[in-house]
Amino acid sequence: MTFISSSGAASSQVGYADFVRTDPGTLAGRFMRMFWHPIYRSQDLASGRRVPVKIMGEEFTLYRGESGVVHLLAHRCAHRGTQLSVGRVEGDCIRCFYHGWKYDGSGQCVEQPAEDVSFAAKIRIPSYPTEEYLGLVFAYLGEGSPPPMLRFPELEGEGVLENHTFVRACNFFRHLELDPAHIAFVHQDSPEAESGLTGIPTIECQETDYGFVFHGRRDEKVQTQHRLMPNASYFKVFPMDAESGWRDRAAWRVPVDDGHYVSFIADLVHVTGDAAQRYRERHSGKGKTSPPPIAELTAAVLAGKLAVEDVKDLGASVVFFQDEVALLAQGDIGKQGDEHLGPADSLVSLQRKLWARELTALAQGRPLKEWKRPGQLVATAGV
Amino acid sequence: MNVTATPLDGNTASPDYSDFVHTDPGTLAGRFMRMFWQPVYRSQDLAVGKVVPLRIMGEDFTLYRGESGAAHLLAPRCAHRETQLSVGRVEGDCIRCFYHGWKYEASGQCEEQPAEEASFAGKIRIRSYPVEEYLGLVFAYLGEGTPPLLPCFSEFEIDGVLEVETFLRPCNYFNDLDNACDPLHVTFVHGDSRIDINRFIDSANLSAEENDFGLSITMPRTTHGGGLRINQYGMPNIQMLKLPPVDKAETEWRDFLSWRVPVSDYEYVSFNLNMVHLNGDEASRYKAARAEAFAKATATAADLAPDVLAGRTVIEEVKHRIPDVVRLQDDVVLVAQGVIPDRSQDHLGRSDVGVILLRKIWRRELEAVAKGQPIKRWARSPAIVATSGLS
Repeated sequence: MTFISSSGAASSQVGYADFVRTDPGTLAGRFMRMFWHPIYRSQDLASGRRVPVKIMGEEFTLYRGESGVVHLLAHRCAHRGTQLSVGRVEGDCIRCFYHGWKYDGSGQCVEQPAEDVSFAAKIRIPSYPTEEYLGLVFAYLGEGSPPPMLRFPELEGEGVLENHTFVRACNFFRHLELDPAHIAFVHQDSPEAESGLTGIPTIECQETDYGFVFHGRRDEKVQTQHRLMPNASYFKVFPMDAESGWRDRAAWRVPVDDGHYVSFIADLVHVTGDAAQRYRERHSGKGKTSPPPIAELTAAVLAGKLAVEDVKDLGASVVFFQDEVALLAQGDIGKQGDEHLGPADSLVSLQRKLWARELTALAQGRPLKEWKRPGQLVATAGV
Repeated sequence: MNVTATPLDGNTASPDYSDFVHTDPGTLAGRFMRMFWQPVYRSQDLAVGKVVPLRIMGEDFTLYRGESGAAHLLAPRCAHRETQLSVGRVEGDCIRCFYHGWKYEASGQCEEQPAEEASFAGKIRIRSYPVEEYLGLVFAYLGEGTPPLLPCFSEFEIDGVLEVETFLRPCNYFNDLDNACDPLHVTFVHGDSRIDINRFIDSANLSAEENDFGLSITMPRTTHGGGLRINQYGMPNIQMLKLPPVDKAETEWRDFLSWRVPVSDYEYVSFNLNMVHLNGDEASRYKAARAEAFAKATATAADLAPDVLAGRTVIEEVKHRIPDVVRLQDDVVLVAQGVIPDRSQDHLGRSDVGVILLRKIWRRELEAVAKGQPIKRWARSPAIVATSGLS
């Protein structure tokens, strides 16, 4: 199949190499930018704090104004290109460190203190819509008016909301292809297995209005997870302890660049009242001790200096470590010709089919599917 | 009949006279920069018999100090089998290669090949470069032909405490050349530092003027009776200005002189001279106090700047860890422009008169270099001096 892309250049068939590239102007980059994405964890952005963020190969300046509102602007000052995040927040504006040009949350320059005849009115840098939801800062980085944001009423209820975020040194699409069968192998020695997820499931996978759903059957037990296009998922996660039960999780895998992605996770732990208080007390020490050196351990495993089972005492982080090894062990992107997909890989096959279809439509300038989730999604633990 | 013209040299692109940032051998700015003496090392760091590898403007060299005390600069590699000469040994004023003992004089002439029974040393000569030491710095001439006269800075040849600093910064050298012609940045970047008095200038009456040294930037003070502060800039990469006293015994402003020399397109080395006008006991006491301040530091500016740039911390939180926040402030702001900024995206205003004039002069000079025309003869006349603007 050959077709003409919207840029007028002939393209060969859309494939894996297109899914993994999300820099500005790329096909997947244009597709991904049609959706809201989480870009930071709210709790890490105190009032007045400003940080540089990189998403899909593009750099930005994120800050929280003194009003508490979050703003996302271009990376650099229009004057002489200084990275704005080294400047200062004043009210809901940010002032450049070098010569004090000041920008409001819309990107409009409002002060040029060193200029006796200010031309601030003529200077405006890009700004991007942001919204905070479920403890995360979301941004719309695309063209035109943003679409409605994806909501998860499943996580809006009572309970303890926890947010996790981590960066991993591989392409985001690798994580989107983590399939239900991997649990039986990668996580066979983990809290996930101890919670009852053992044995190889039979997998069923179907396209839905929002993306796809998949069921992993182990005897009579069904684990149901949802994927919401393009890069969100909703599923149940094993309990952190005996009293708190299975958690509801919404997770997004967002490209930092083609070689890195960042995960943003919102977990609702179903404990309320005194149980919530006790849960918080049990887990309040977490995050104060330094996290295990997952990246170094993974590198040692990949180099053959350690075996996965040699690494003990990681607690719940072992699941994270096991995924890290499995994902990084797939090596560089672009080797998909070597793969052999079977029926157990139906998630991988279906997802690639959906992405190829959507990216092809985008390249040809045809309408894309309008992804919509129903009022209620049911995820099950399958134990 | 269609006729397609083919340029004889096969190169259709006209040179970019605004490409100031690339200085590797053969580049336009690299050819221009090599027409001037450049400092390449700090004299105090090169003991007798020491030999070091150097990289300047993307080119490698061997620098050593012979047993006579003279510094010598040679090509980076032995002519025999390309061994890096700096891993060899200094013998007298010669250097001997580590691998098979070929020995070179300071002129680059090979004079021994101990493993060859029929030596052909007389036919072997590697490149050597003119070197001079002045004001605590080793200067080298890396260009073609006869070197020009080494510029003279009599302000620094007097009694006093001459501080010689050198440091690397991980960005293109031109970021700092722009910065040298931009005194207004002090108002914003260095407001909270030892040089904060230089914030108080009348930006509306800032002016820049070309002279025989390079350019002068004149700014009336808004304090101290409106005296004129003048910073001098020497082509191609020299900054000269007055800095306020730090020690209580200093009654005069310091003289500051600096060269920014590319190591590669992505990194430069700054050689800074401070003439602190203190003598005798006051000089000794000052030096001891300064050594103590450096000993107390728990970090260097170069360690901290990456954390600030990555958003992990801010300068206010870490400045107590270093002896002088000015370096960190500049490390942050200059690298924050990008390692090699895209200057076509700049929006310059009237406050950028110095930057605008600097770039205009550079463009004109690079055009002359490209066309094989003579460049301007830059030489500082005695009237071209920096002033503090304080009476």
